Amino acid sequence: MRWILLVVAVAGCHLDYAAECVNLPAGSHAACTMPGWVDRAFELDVPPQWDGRSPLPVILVFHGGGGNRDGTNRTTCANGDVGDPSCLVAQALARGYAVVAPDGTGSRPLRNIRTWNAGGGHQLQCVSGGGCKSHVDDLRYATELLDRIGAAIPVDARRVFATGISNGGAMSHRLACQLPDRIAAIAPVSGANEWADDGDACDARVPIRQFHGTEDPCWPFDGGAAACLQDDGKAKTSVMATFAGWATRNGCSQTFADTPRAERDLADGTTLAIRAWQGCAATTELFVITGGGHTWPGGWQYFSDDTVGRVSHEADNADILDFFDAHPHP
Amino acid sequence: MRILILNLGLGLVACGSVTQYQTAEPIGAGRWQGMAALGLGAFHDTDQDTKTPTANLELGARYGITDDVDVGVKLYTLGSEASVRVRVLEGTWSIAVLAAIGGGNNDKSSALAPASIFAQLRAGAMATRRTSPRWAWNLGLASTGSLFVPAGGGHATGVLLGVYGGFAWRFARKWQLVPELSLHQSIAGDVPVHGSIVELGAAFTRDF
Repeated sequence: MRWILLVVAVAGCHLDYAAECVNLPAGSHAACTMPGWVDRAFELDVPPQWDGRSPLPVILVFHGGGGNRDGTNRTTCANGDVGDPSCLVAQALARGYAVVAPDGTGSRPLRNIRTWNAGGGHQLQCVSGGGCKSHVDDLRYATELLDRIGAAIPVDARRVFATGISNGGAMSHRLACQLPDRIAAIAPVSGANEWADDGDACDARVPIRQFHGTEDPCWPFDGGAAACLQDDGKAKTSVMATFAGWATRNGCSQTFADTPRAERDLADGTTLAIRAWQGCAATTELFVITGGGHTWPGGWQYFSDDTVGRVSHEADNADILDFFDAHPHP
Repeated sequence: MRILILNLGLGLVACGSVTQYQTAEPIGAGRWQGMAALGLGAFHDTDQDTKTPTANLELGARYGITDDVDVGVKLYTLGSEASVRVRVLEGTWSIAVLAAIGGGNNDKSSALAPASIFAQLRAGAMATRRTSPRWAWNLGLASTGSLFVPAGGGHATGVLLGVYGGFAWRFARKWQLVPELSLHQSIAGDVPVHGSIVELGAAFTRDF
């Protein structure tokens, strides 16, 4: 009998590797590596109408806990259709923004279930697990990410913004706290300021417009231990505790006014009131979505409403982009 | 918890196989053996404080080069492995050494695993005490080195030290049942985890 040739089937190694992105042209959709980091690539979309020279405003979009950059934009799209013009990326590109969707830290061994170290772990819940529990330095990551974006495209330093859902929303809060000179404004969705509310340093004045459902089962409006991804028995911070903090830092009084928005969708089971704090040096607004769940406004019902609550159509991506348009760094 | 349940059956993404399902007795010169196994287990990453249940289906074949040396190949959930087993002592206790190389290629990202390549080298020793023609008891040690190369850039490595034990029961002339319990602990790096792996499984083998 002949010897058998043993071939280890590491076959067909045609991975679509991320690249070290430098000087990207208009209309690019690129996956870019983060040198010095393992598997922490980011996607960068460059507006097609860009002239190739002018500094671009940039929106960082952080995926939720358990997600990854592949699904970041989908979360923001009506019916989860990434070809729909309602998606955040499509709308942002149309307004001339570059959009960045980075990857959080992969779980082990399921490395595309990713999280951000967005705070917690003292008295509050370590949202959303892995990245926080293992103390990943996501501030350094974000700093280096901004540097890498700057190598890929010219960045308008006065117009760098952050948004994201849940753990990604909390990450937006953390960056506002720790990088106020680089982040002009934030628009978190379904995620509060676990970083500051758990006692970590936050001495920043940053305009904020947050979106949060009153029936969010994953990050309850009033805080608490309820969770959809990870439950360590500790509580998440409440939305109003987060806004008490931002109202103080943003120079507001602690009083606010609620302005109801006329209903856009009578069938979605939600209503919207825009809660604006008074006398602020930096805009401080909370979109209180009564009946809304742990979902992107106008976005994708990624799990059943029994699991994550309802998608509201009373607000949408235009509310995020209008806010960013109006809040460049002074 | 829902996500962890979804992982069942897909859990060994970017991880090699840590199971043996073998005795220290090569199958004999010129002989063939087929194998099918199912293992259930859990990864515990102590750094991230995560526990991930897994299931792993394996299909394999071995061929005897000499009475003391055989080679094998196996396919598992998302990878494959080639191995060689060499018996170094035959007696009341048989002792063999085993070396294996394996890996896999995940060329499309999924919700669970990024596009990536992983590779694995394993070396170990096993001891078998045969108490009858039908029954044998197995113990073994294994060291496993793993490499993870994601499409997203960079790479990660890890080294596991493991022990395993079980028995082999020849319940028919050509058929054997080989249950195995294995426990592996990382001693360096974080591939596949920074922590431990426990797996309980059973293989059916058939001689040809």
